[in-house]
Parts: sequence; C-alpha cells; structure tokens
Amino acid sequence: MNNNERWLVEESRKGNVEAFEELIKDYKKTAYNIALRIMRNVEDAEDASQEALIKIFKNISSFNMESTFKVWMYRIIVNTCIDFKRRKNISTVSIDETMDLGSGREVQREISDESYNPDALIERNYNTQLVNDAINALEDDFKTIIILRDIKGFTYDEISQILSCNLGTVKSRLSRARKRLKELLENEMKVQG
Amino acid sequence: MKCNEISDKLSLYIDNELSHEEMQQVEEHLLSCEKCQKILDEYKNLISVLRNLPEEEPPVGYCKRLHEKLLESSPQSKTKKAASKIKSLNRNKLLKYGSLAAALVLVFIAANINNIGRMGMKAKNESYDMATTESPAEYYGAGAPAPEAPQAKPPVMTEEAAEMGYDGDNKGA
Repeated sequence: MNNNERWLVEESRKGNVEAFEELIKDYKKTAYNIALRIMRNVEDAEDASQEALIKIFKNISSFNMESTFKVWMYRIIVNTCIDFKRRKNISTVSIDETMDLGSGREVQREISDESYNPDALIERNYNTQLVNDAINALEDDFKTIIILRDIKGFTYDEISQILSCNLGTVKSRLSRARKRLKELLENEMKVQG
Repeated sequence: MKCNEISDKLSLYIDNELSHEEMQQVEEHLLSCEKCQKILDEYKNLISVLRNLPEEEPPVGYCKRLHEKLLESSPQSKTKKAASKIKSLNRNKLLKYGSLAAALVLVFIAANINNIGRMGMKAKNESYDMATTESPAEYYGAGAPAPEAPQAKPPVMTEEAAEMGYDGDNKGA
C-alpha cells in the first residue's frame, strides 16, 4: 500500500467522501462489472455495487493497513453481490438442470467427460454473446471464480483472500469451473450445428 | 499418466500453478498426445476470449448517485446534520422563550401604563373632587351629618422654633 493510498484511507476513516472517491476511482468500474456479471442486469448491478461501496466506506476503519486494499475491497464487493442476489431471490443455476441460453435455445447441462469435440471448438471463434450466456449459466461459485481469475485477472493468492478459502480450493474450483464453461460452450455449439 | 488425469491438470498448467514435476509430466504427455494438445489449445482460446471480454461502462449518473449515497452515510455529514439540528432546535427554543419573555415584558409595560393611567386619572379625579365638592353634604349625602368645619389650629411651635427662642403668642411678652 503506497503512501497516497494510506493517506486516502486515513481521510476516508474520518468520513471524507472526496478522499474515498479518489481511493476507489480505479476500482469502481471493475466493481460495477463484477456486480453486472453476478446480477445479470444493470439496475441490480448498480444497486449491489453501490451497496458494497457504501459498506466499504462505512467499514473502512476495520481495514488492516498491512493488507491489500484492493483485495479487501473486492472481498466485500463479491460477498455483497452474492448476498444481494440471494436477498432478491434471483435464481441461481444448479448442476444437471436444463439451462436456457436465451433466444429459446435450451440445452441439457449434464455433459459427459467424453463429449468433447475439440476440432469444432478450436476452429471457431467464440461468439461474445454465447460466452456471456454460458458464464451466466454457471453456478455462482464457478461464475465468481471465472470472473475473478479469467475476466479480472486476479492471482490465485488474491482469489483465495477474496473468497476466504485456501489455495487448494481455488485451484480445484477454477479447474472445474473452466471445464464446466468449456462444456457448456461445446454443447451449445453442437446445438447450433 | 492417462489423458483424463492430464486434462484435469491443464487449467493449472496454463497458469503455471503445477509443481515442477507435474509440469514436466504434462509437457511430456502433450508432446505425444494430439488430443490433449487440442484440449490445451481450447482452454487457451477460452481464457483469451474471457480476458478480452469488453467491460461495460456504469450507467449515466452512476457516480453522482454514489456520491449522494456516500454523503448520506458519511459520519461527517451526520455530525453536521446533528449540529444543524441542535442549532435549529436552539434557534426554535430561543424564538419560543424569547417571544415569551418579550410578551411578558409587553404585558408588564401594558399593565404599568394602565396603572400610570389610572394613577393619573385618580390624581385628576382627586383634584376634580376637591374642586367640586365644596359642600361636605354633597359628598357625604344630604342625610349625613356634616363634619365639623375645620377650625383654625393653634400655632404649633416646632422644636426648631423653640430652640431659636420662638415663643409664638408670647412673643414680646
């Protein structure tokens, strides 16, 4: 944590709104985008991300200066968004149920390990909308770890701190999440022919 | 190592999160297994797509709305609000009690003015009475016995006069 960030944290602790806004300047957009990925709609993404940022502002006194502000902040953002989603009773996807990829396209989620079609996948460019739909169809735990690692580029260590779990869990969960996402995309591509 | 085992390690292999020994095992396998090499390429392709997904801009007015919420939740603004509440409360009290005090002063002044007026009236009445009631009969009523007419009082020698040897009637005697 550099001196400027430390000073901004100190000022934010005194209730200085402008200092806090400066502190979160570079993280605000990412916070919103994480919320958007989890919530799936603009209104809820704004409400959830702002609720998280207010929570960070109110609880900044409990932040330990020795740890990384970014990691501490994103932990609150991820947890707040997941809580927000539960509170609003937005449906979460469970394993083995049919998933809707939009536009009336529906595919069975359960796919065997031997159902890969590598040739089909590698030769096609993924359509962004298709990837977004597949991410949305993931279970929350898988989705969160894909967002943090592959979309936002956090390190394994940072993810373990954000999700409050050990490194082994991060490794196994990320491997399974990527595998699931790849399966969803392959299956969808099969459906599309 | 079988393809399934290798496949499960590919995600960590991409991120360089395997042990040195495991890395070597995977690399050796990839050299001889086209299928696993293709799976590896698919993972790389997928991760590259995910890394390049465009970020959405927050909606217009997002920062302004956040700023307002932050101001509302700021302890500084709460202190200011509390201070202004106390000020306004004090101002109200001041107005209330001040008005009451002013009203009391006015009542007091009004009462005094009334009294002064009455006193003036009384004095006026008294002089009027003295001027008009020449006959005691008129004052006390016709049937009432008229008080005795004031008689000339004998001169009273004051102590001062006595001291000065004033003798009154006996002057020059």
